[in-house]
Amino acid sequence: MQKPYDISTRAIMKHLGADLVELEDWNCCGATFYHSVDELQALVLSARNLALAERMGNNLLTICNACYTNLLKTNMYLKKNANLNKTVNEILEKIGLSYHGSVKVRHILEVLVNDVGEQSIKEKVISPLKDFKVAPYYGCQIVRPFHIFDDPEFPTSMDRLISWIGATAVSYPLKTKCCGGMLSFLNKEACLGLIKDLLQSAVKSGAECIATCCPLCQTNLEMFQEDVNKKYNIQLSIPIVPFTQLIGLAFGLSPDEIGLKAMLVPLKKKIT
Amino acid sequence: MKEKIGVYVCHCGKNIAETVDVEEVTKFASGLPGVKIARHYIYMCSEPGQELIKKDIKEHGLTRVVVAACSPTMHEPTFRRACADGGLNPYLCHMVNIREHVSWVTEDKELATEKAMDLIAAAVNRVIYNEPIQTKKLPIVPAVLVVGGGIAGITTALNVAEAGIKVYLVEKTPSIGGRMAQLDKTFPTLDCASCILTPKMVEVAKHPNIQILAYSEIEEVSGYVGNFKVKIRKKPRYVDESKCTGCGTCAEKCPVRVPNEFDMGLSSRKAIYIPFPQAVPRKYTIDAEHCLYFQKGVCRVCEKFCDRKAIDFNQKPEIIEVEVGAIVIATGYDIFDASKIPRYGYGRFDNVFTSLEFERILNASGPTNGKIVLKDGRTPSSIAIIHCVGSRDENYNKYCSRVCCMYSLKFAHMIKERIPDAKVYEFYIDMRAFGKGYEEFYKRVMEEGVEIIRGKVAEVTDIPLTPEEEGKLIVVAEDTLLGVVRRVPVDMVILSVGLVPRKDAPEIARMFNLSIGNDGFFIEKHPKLAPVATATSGIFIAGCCQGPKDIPDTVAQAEAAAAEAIDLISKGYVETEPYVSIVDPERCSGCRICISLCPYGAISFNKDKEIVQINDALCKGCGTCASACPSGAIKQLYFTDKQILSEIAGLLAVKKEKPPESIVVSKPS
Amino acid sequence: MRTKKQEGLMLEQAFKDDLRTILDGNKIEACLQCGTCTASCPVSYLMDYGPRKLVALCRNGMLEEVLRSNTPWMCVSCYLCTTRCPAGIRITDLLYEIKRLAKKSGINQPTNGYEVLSEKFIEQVEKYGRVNEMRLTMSLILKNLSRMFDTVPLGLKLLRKGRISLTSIIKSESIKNIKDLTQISERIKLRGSG
Ligand SMILES: Cc1cc2nc3c(=O)[nH]c(=O)nc-3n(C[C@H](O)[C@H](O)[C@H](O)COP(=O)(O)OP(=O)(O)OC[C@H]3O[C@@H](n4cnc5c(N)ncnc54)[C@H](O)[C@@H]3O)c2cc1C
Repeated sequence: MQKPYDISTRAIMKHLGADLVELEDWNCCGATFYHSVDELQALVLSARNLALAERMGNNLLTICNACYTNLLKTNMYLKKNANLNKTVNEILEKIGLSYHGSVKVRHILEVLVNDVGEQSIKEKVISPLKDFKVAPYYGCQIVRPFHIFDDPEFPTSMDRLISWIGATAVSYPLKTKCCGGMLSFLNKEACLGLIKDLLQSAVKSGAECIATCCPLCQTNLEMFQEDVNKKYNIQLSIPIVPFTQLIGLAFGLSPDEIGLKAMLVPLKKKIT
Repeated sequence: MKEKIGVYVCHCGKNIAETVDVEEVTKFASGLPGVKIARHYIYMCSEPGQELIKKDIKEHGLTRVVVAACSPTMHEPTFRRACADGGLNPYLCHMVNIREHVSWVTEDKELATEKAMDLIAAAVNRVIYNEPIQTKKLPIVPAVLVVGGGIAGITTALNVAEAGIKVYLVEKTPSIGGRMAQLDKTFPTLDCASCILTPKMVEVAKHPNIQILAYSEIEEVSGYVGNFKVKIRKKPRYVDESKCTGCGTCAEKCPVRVPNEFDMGLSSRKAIYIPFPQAVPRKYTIDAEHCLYFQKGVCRVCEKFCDRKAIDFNQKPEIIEVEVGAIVIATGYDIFDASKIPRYGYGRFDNVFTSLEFERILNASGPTNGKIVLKDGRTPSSIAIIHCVGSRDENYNKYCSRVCCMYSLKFAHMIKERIPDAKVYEFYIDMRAFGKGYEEFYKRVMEEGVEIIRGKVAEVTDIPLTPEEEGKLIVVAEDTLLGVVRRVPVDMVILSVGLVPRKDAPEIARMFNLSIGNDGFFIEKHPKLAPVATATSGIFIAGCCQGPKDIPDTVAQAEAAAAEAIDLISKGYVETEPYVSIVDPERCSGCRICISLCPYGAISFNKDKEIVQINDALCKGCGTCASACPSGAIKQLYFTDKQILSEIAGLLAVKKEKPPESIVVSKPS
Repeated sequence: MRTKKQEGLMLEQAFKDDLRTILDGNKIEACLQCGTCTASCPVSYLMDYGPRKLVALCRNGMLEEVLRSNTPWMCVSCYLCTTRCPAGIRITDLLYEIKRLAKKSGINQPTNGYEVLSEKFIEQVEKYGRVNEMRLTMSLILKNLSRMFDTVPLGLKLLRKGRISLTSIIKSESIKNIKDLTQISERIKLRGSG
């Protein structure tokens, strides 16, 4: 379901000359669910991915906020708790792996803003998204609980990135408020309320599209727009796109290359 | 053995005796070589305890004394004095710390007892080689330096000056007065801050014993208690203080407007200015950073209009050197930067103010002439006051800032007084109304109809959920007493920001050799018993530079610091450090390695004799020279090689009743 | 049979032990009861106690109430409470801990379908190593957690856009070393850990 985010990330990174290698045989970290059942298992599942990356000699890049938090948490817990580290490694050993804590966990947003940086990105922009107003939506887990590269409530990295590609980042206060996350399965009504507040706040601040950096946020905001409209008797229709697609557009990549056609609410003609 | 040693083991009530078997230890001590008598007693530091030592010296002809009790930083002077009273050179007495080093940190009684014995054995073995030391008395410079001209510095300066002692009052900004000058009224009695402060400022200005060095900073400090040398840098005002009458024509004519820091940026001032009308000294200052002449080389309007020809664009910084016997640091506090908590909206919403900004708004000579108004000039009909902004919070400062609850209540009262219909909300976690008359003030404010909600504010937002919230700032908090999350729409929000150390506190600490606590404030010598002294003798602290406090506490501390300084100076002399280093002229090769290493500049080279010599008034007894001397010519009194090696030997000596570890046959496993 | 009291004591001990292993778990003792967490929570209005009261209950040893509470099950893991807490309590992690303990204790939890969702999600991970949204949704529909009626129109749209594919449900490909995950599960069950 997240093909567009995946495709566009690979496309822009290739365009920037970065070498992404897919982690061989990675497994799902179980999002938040394992933590509710068995903490150790949650940590081991993430540790397996970290161990695989360590074996390949790479750092780990993720495009998902929940994976990001889980991986960071695992890294931190293993570092702070020697007993735990031992237990986890004992289990990893049974599947022929081990993890020594050397892998750095990175989020694509952080890498683009801090490693690639302003100059390299601006150099590649050939069709700046002029006069285009974007509401950056960070979601929760990219900045919480570990606020490693930005403020936990008022981050600015995506705002800056948006300005580098010629667009305008609108400021609206809900950019790190929860979209409901898994609540979309459990209490859809409550979730719709949160989504409505978010969308309305972005629209009110003049945004023509919302840029996301997490697959679940993107899904929630995009998929349930019609339900929100129905429930609250309003008419919202705002495109929700992974921020990597916007970068792709500015780099002059074709809509196909960045999976633009797969979006439910299409972006305005003027920029595509 | 010609020495007769007395050993005294203290119970310290139960502090020591509960963990260390004092009787066993005493028995053990009495068997040590040279020990003439060993006793234990419940409180050695008490009068009868000290009497024991004195009597034994006389009756048994003791030549050395060992006291095993608490830390020497606590009672070494006590026991040394007792020995002196008994007729023994005080440095022939040695202390063993069996409280902090043993009983308080050891759970196992047996181990504790054993450790106490080891330490006493070491002390007995070393005390034999102790030598009598004579200290010298040096005169004291009868003058005091006070750094910081807030209410703390002002109070200290006045008290010291009244005792007939010369005071140099150094203030960084163009005027003395400090934060108190910015306040409107003061809790809990609601005296007007200026009304009680201004007379004191004037008194300082007029006092013949006080020299105000405003717009000045400390450049360098050297010397020691009784004889400090201080270099002060007087920044150029570009106005000749002796000519300026404070008439204000220059400021009237100056074309440049700059945010006024005294009004926390809520109003503007000119590039030539006095910070506030009651400023002392009432002399104008040119702010070179904004002055057109300094920035662009044009204008000079002030110069043209000054009848007294007081403007002097060529003024240069001036270094003033003074000598003082004591120093009082009173550099005060800053306020917590509210923009560090963006969710409270400071800097994002027009009508979110800090408490100090609100003091200025309340003040008749402030930016709104004392009218409580919103940024757009409207009168607010509802105001929320948020406590603990940046305080009691692990993410910012852990400590309680102590004054915020009270000034917040004061604000509520002032708002009710000026806008009786306004709704006022206080969001607090715990209400700290601890001072005299404070609880009564709290009650009074409650009775005035202020709504007091127990809950820390989660955020301030401008996103309305209901029509009533439209156009308002909405304060979100859980009313924890009701267990309900409330959204309170208001027109204005006041953030009761905490008190934080001055930005340059670490620099001041370095210059004056002060210690800084985890909270960033200067540390006093003892939290209960030496609240204004510091680890450096002759240097005292007072007011908020030591920690957040209100004006009554600040003044009390300032008066205490003054008393300490007066005490020191009226004694007339200071005793030199006993543990100074001495040079053996026979062995010194004149290599001068020690000179470059001495942090106190106490060593010099005697060209005639081609050896070094140590000024024992400057020597602090750090021992660096002694350990560095390649020919072993320098020894530090009380820490000679012989003494230290004997102490170690005593510590390692095999105890009779217990075979040493090495000959215990371990069972094969 | 253990008495109710004994069981309670054992639970309390287990809780205390676990608190010691989770990061900063002991900090609940220093909770100020300031309410920042509850007021920050986007879904506290759905909760019976909310995080602040839950911490108070934990502290006072009222574990039965804690374990019956719906509060942990409503948490959306947005961590706002955690980053804002002035006492440094990792509230989100505490709620995870309570969920784990509730499962262990066998006390009936109020359910909003969380268990079904988590069960199905975990089932997918253990079977395939990865989660396919289409498959997950189908399994939820079968469990009545998602209504067919609601999902079909959206599903059709996504199919048209190429965002999901039907073959992915039929062709149940898993990761190469899926036995790794089975091993991990077994190991952990063997340890009887929590
Ligand atoms: C909003 C607010 C309201 C308050 N209301 C009340 C109240 O109603 N009642 C009450 O009792 N208390 C109140 N207080 C507390 C009161 O302000 C303090 O107790 C008092 O000001 C402390 O005085 P001080 O001299 O220690 O520090 P300060 O007032 O900060 O004075 C320090 C002085 O030292 C100077 N200085 C700083 N660094 C240097 C340096 N390196 N070299 C030279 N000079 C330096 C500064 O310029 C300043 O003049 C309030 C505080 C706030 C924030």
